Amino acid sequence: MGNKTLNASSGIGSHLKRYLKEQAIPVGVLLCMIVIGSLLTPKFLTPLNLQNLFIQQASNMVAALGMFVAILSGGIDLSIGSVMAVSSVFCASLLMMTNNILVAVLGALVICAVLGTVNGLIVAKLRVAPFIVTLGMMEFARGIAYWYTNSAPISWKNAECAGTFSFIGKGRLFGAIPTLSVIMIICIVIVWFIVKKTSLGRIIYAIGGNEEAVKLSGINVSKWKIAPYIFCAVCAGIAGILLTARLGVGAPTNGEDLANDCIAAVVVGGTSFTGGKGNISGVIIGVFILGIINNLLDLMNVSSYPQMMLKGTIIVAAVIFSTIKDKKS
Amino acid sequence: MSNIIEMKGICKSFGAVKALKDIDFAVRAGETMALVGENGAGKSTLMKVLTGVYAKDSGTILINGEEVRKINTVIAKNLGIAQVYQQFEMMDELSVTENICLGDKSFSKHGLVQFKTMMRQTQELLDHYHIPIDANAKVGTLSAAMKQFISIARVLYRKPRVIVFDEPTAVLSDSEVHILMDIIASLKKEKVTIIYISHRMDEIFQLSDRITVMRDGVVITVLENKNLVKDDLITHMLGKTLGAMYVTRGKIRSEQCVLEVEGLTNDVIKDVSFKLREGEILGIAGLVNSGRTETARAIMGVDKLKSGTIKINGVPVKIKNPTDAVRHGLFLAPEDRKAQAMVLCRPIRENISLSKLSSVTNRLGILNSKKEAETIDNLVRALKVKMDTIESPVQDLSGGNQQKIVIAKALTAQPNILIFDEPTQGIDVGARAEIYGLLEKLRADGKSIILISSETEEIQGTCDRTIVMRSGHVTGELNAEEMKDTKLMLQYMYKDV
Ligand SMILES: Nc1ncnc2c1ncn2[C@@H]1O[C@H](COP(=O)(O)OP(=O)(O)OP(=O)(O)O)[C@@H](O)[C@H]1O
Ligand SMILES: [Mg+2]
Repeated sequence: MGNKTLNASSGIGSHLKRYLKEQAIPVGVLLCMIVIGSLLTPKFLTPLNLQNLFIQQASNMVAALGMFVAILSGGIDLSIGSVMAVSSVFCASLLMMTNNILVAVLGALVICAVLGTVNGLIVAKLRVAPFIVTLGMMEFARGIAYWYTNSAPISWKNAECAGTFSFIGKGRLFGAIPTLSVIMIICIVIVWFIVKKTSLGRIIYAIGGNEEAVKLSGINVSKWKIAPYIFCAVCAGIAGILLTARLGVGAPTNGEDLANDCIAAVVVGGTSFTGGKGNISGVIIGVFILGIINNLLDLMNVSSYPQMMLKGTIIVAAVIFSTIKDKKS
Repeated sequence: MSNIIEMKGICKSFGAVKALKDIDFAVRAGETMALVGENGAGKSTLMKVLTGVYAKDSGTILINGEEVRKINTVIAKNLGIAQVYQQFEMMDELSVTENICLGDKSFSKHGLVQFKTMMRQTQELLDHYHIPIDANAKVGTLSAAMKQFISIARVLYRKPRVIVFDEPTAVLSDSEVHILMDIIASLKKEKVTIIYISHRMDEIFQLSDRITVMRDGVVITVLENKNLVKDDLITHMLGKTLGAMYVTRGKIRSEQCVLEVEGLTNDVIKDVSFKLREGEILGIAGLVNSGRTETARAIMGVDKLKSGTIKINGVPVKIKNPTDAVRHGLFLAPEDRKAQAMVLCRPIRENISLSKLSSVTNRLGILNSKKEAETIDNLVRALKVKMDTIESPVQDLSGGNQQKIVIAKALTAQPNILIFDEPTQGIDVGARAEIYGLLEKLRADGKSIILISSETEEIQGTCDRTIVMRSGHVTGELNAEEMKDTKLMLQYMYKDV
């Protein structure tokens, strides 16, 4: 060590090295899945299937980004599936009522933001455990979705603007790139920017790591702690809109498994479940690991029950490996 | 005398950092070996290799002349090697006895615990080592210093042959250090082998038979503690001679009061009043648990006040939380580094700038990473923090280097009034002198400082004035002349209230 007090090992090489060391397990698992996938079936590594994979995962990815931020801050949001359903049914219904895409999208997102704010305020100001608060919201928001629709999906196919709206779900930019995957990438870039390049992101990481130290630094923790929940709900809202655009209906049953899948993706991607540690590339990898499992087993016509069993196994295994690795260093 | 412990050619790296480079370290049966060296020299790491916490990369370990090929914490314990940990997790709801005997199965007969015998034996143990604790007391009611003694008793109870102490006195005040010195003296009589790590030179001289000096992951020399001069030892440690520890103090800038507190009262502190002038260093002395930390926390708005007023620059202010306090130009560098000062899992860079994010962001809250890295690079270079890069998480630093980050963070906040709670805990002699120089520079720039310290000498060397606390009350105030009288200081520390 000696005089090597300062940035002795900067440069891209060492950044990559440190990154690979941190994310070795998720990256390894993803690579394994790709190799296994291409060995198991020739249908896996085809352009068509890969495009499908991107389209299928877009809405999960956006929702997982929100979950990522909530878990980073040391919290969790179990209500995202229900919030997605709320967004989905209101978006479809507003499309039918107003024929205006902008109103429908913004309307749905505002409603989600309100739900997220309620979560955030109760967690931050009243200091109720996020698990409990969002569990309540999960029931409440699902109730809204069913009540508003009388449990029947709302189709927006007959709205005047249906043609334009379906471009979001099914269209291709320049005739080749699925619109959904472009939106997904834009969302990833925005979230990356927020967590890495703004004081909001910095504070969220720090609160997840040690709330007391942040408080003593003179930062108003109870104010900043609301943000992740609003953020998470808005992400779930966007995910709901994307799903609605793809499926052609806004259904109150949407997102039943969303919270589980997103928590799994975030944790498999190496984000610490207690908060403070993790990065966005891990989330992307995590979503694709779970997506590939589904995709592969679908291609091989395996029924959905063994799929669930395998998914559960891989989630726990990935986290066990990470825990062992953390202990070693 | 034969070597009870012999470590040969020990190497240990953490990634690119070589913490231990080909270390040879031997301890004779029954002796007290001190282990000294700068922050980050590798002392704690060497002991963690010995006690099986870390696996060595290469080298051999011989215990009683026999090679131990595989070592982990359980094997080390069975071989009679024990370490006293600073923050041992204790069950506050249980009694001292239960905490000490926890996990010992010899008291259970047919699945029932024989409480009376257990209690009697524990009390005997405590009395034997003159530890002033009632075996029946609930641990939750005891002070932090006494809890430290319980964790020592827990180790003694198991009658190990080798005991490792890693900076046991970092947060003990002088009088409590005496209790520890007595314990170690009795252990020496019982021929227990002791390895003792500390940055406090007088303890080293008082206790040790021999001293191993480490620097940058290698053993520099092993000295006999006979006719040894303090300055020589320091020169071995630092690789250069150390100038004066304390700088000469300039004049206080003005008589103007920047902070005035009156009658601060809550559950712990009672009617605390004092004034702090511009460009002054005010010491707060007292035993551990005398209400010093609580006074700082009350001023910062962390703990609620029942009554009392706080005036800043003569104007009464309401401080309801630390955010208010920071807005009024106050900043606290807390005593409890892990729980209150640092986000251990985040990089050094992020920890330091957390205290003033506005200085590295634009109006939209977007970070200027380049500017941030530059300022922080300069700061950690000035404090000689030993690390890989500023992107390393704080938890990878050695104890003393973590403490330097606590100080760097407080300086970055650029407050007018700085409260340091035990700022030099675990910091080596060389860096200590630099930190005192830094305090003096801040003072000369017109900043005002409150220095809470358990070391009387530190207070005497750096402060313009000091107040002494006991059980939540201010028992006295001493000016620069009166402070020199250590006896007088002690009198106030033990004054009945
Ligand atoms: N878990 C770890 N991961 C990475 N580096 C580490 C780890 N533990 C220690 N180090 C590095 O090893 C070196 C030696 O650290 P160690 O804690 O042994 O120092 P020390 O002599 O005990 O210092 P101090 O007096 O400050 O306690 C330091 O440079 C430190 O940064
Ligand atoms: Mg150490």
